Amino acid sequence: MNYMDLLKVINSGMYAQRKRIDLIATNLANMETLKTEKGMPYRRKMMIMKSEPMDDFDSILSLEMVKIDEIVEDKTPFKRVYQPSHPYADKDGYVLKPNVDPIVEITNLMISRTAYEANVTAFKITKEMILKALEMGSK
Amino acid sequence: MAEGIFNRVFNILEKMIGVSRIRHSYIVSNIANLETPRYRPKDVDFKQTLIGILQDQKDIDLRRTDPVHFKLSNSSVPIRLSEDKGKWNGYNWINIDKEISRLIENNLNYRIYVDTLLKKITLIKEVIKEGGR
Repeated sequence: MNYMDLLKVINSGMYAQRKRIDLIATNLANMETLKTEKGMPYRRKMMIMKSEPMDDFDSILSLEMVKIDEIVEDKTPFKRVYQPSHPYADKDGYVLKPNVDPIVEITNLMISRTAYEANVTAFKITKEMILKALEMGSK
Repeated sequence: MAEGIFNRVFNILEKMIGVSRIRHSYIVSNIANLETPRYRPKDVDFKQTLIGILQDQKDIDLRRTDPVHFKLSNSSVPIRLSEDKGKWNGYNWINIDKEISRLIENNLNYRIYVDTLLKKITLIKEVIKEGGR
């Protein structure tokens, strides 16, 4: 176990959060997308993270890295908006809209940003500790 | 007389720096897993681990009798994890404020140990130079 492995752990956390922010951006951008390749409105996507033990045989510590487990689609039903004049309206005059809720997305965005900042803090402190350890050699 | 100069304080400080570093890795691992569902944070019980390491210290030299044997690592370091498992927040057991304050606290402790060690070395240098004369 050395410091470089530790930076790898932090890096995995930062990577996962960054990817989640990417996903939130995708959801927000497609908030009004009525037609996707499947012919249905856009379905909100979610990311599931999982922890994974570091594969380091020398290590005595049981540190866990973060891994993106899978990207799943939100099963919430689509929003139905009454717009009879819309070309995509069904026979009752309703249009199906994506199940993206901007409030949920922005909340998740803020959580992700906080988590990312926490990782950056951890990175900074680790760096500081490495430099402090190097001071021992300079005396 | 080297043992007189490099006394037990050196040894203990060295181990304290080591345990502090191990604790740091656990806290960092917790922070990285902040958003992992059902993740349980881990923390090292500093005092118990340090006592364990200091008691465990024997000057027995380990040797491999055959090169195909597993590499000798310091796997005997008795890490004792803290009993505090955190509170369930509906997602996992991590509390970010707690982890960050632990991180800062541990970092400050680490700096104190390193600075103390540096001070000891400075003092020894002073003695060697007979007080700078």
